[in-house]
Amino acid sequence: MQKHSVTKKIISNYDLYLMLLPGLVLIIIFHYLPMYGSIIAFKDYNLMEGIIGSPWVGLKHFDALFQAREFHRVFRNTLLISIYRLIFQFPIPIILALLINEVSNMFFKRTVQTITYLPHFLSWAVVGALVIDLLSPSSGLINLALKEFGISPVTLMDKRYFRAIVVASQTWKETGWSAIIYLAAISSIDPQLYEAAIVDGASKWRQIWYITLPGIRSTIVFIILLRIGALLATDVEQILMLYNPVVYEVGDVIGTYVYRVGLGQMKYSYTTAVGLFQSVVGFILLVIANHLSRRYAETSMW
Amino acid sequence: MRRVFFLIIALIFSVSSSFFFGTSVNPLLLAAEKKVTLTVVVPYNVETFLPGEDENNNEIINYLEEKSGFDLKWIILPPDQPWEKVSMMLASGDPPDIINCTDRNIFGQYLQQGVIAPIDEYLPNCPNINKLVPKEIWSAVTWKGKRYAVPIPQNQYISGTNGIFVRKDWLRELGFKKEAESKEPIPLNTYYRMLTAIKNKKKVVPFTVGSTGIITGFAGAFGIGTAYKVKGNKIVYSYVQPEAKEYLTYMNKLYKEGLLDPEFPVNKAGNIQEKLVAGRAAMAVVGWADALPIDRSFKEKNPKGELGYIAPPKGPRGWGIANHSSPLRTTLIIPAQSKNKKEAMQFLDLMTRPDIYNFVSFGIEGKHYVREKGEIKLLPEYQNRRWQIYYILVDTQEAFAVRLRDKGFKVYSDQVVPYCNLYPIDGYAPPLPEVISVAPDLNSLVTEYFIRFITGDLSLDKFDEFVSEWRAKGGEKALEALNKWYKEEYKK
Repeated sequence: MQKHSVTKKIISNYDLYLMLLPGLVLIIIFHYLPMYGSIIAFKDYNLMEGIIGSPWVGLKHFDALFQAREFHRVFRNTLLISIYRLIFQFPIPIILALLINEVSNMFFKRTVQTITYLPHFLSWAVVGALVIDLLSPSSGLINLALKEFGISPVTLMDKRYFRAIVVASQTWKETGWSAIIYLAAISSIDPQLYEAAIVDGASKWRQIWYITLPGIRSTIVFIILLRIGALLATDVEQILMLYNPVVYEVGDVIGTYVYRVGLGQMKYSYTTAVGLFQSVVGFILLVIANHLSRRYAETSMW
Repeated sequence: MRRVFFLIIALIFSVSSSFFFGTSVNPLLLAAEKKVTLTVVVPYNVETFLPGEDENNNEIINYLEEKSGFDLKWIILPPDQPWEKVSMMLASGDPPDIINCTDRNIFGQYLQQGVIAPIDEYLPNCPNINKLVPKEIWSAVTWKGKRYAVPIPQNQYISGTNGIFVRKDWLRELGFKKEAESKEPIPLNTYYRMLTAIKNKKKVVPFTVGSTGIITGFAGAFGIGTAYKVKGNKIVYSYVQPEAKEYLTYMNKLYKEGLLDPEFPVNKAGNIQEKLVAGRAAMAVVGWADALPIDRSFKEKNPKGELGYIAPPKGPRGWGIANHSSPLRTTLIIPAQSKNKKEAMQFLDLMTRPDIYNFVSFGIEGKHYVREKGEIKLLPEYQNRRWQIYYILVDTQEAFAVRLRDKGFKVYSDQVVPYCNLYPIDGYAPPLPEVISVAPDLNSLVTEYFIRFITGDLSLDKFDEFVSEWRAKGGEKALEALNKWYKEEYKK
């Protein structure tokens, strides 16, 4: 009976389903079919023999990965940098969106919004060079200022500050851009709620707390879930620009390690094993986070 | 990029089964009168072609087609991840006929994967190749008794690139007149006095280098200018020798006293240039190719200053600057799956014929150049030639020198080349899998540890930790393999 109605629904809305089709095909071709290539993580991939013909080697590459001296280090660094980002960087776009939303002068609002999201369009090569320049111990603006106050310099060669610099520079670059999605969510809140609150005598602060924030709660949870799913994926270009051998111990992440060791060495199977490991961990984290969120926050992706 | 690669592999799989068996070719179609098409893969090209021309239609390639009787198709690799594109072509079952493989590690990998065809059977018919390639470098492409590539000999101007570039006006001012002009290597102590004087009197960074642990000139003074060297009767890994420790102690002293740039680990190539031009550094390790643009912008800002190369330091174990990592400039390889191996070799032999490579390099006498007293003088028309992707196959000392002179580099390279006297022994070895597979890993290990030793981030007491890391990463096995080759093949 129910099945019948589903078919009927599809038939009556066939045009909508037709529009869905190209997107689905795209995802299947570009995201699902290539997963087949992941089997070379369990093989010694050889160009002449191809994906099928290459010999199976079981978990050899995973063994090599877990035994590499650097694995422990890069795994810890990747996780820590991502968690720092989740804690320190994540709330800032929400605050910025709330602030921008409260501004009544249209011109000022637009200007601030544009200025804050512009850095997003700069590549890391540019931003990285800026950071390096600002933090140069001999001629950097920040360190010259710190020197005036008698504070010891903050440099990219200092293990204590490296992760903080990574998170801070990323925050500077991405905050404005990330705020856009929250602004969009805020604008979709029914204005009648605010009007009713004003009539009831709620202050601006109360309005934010009881109307705006709950209004964008599902967006916030959604973004957190995505972030958790990508916990093992860091911005490789950024760290490549900023790090140097002195801070490998705190700054070397999975992506940069694979880049340094895998590049040009044609270790296809090994790097696939790393990628597969990264994806599996990300997938597990995402499922757990989604489950928790459905249970406690009553929103979830599926 | 990696993902894209697999994706394309997967796509190829899903759409064509001919992948496994190769496309079947009807022999009748290859009748004698039909021209053979040769595809030639070359590295990225920095030149722009003239309007109406491209890599497969211009004076040079048309001339080569006419002379060889083949249809030629040049394929230019992208600047990023070029070898992934090559691997893709090889995996797709439609391989090119000739690959200009400039990367020795890639050559080794392809060889181990069985992608490359041996060329011995064709060599007797290649008189020009046999004449051009010196006997001693064939060993670098020989594996289990077979030769797998046409090795093009290294060019001394390319192989020796780095030198010590310094403010000569300051040196003279501070009383180091003799050293500024000296052709003889300068004692390490004098270097130390120079750097101290610069620090005290000029208040700038005395000596700046890139983010590396092996500092040109100074490494040579301590006998560790190259990774592998011959010591006594066998090959050793220089960086784990006692002299490496001496070197690190000395460099750490320079760093502690502020003679070495305090921020050298974060230096990028541009920083060094900027520091020299702005007068914020007095001395730096600079290659001759960078020296020209640095000197030009320096002179604009400081017409009275003078930048120039000085002789490298001479230390307890002599002196020297590492030559290029290989006696080969490039290797020309033919994929095992190519259907035109014989023709490809025929073409390569043609490319190594003097009149052909001279045409590629210089053009037509009278139109592009004239010879005056044996020296080649370029005419204005020469500037219209876009030869880079053609001479890159076969190049000669003479042609290179002419180009250097033409572009203004020769003044600098002539000051650097005489000091690049250290030849890495492993460059003559065939691509041994034990050595090649660990090389990038070992390089990054050395860079990390040496920078930390020099900056004092890690105490030199931990040198043994570095040595055991080197062993754990397969360094000793690589050394064994090299020594086996050295004893059994090289010494003979």
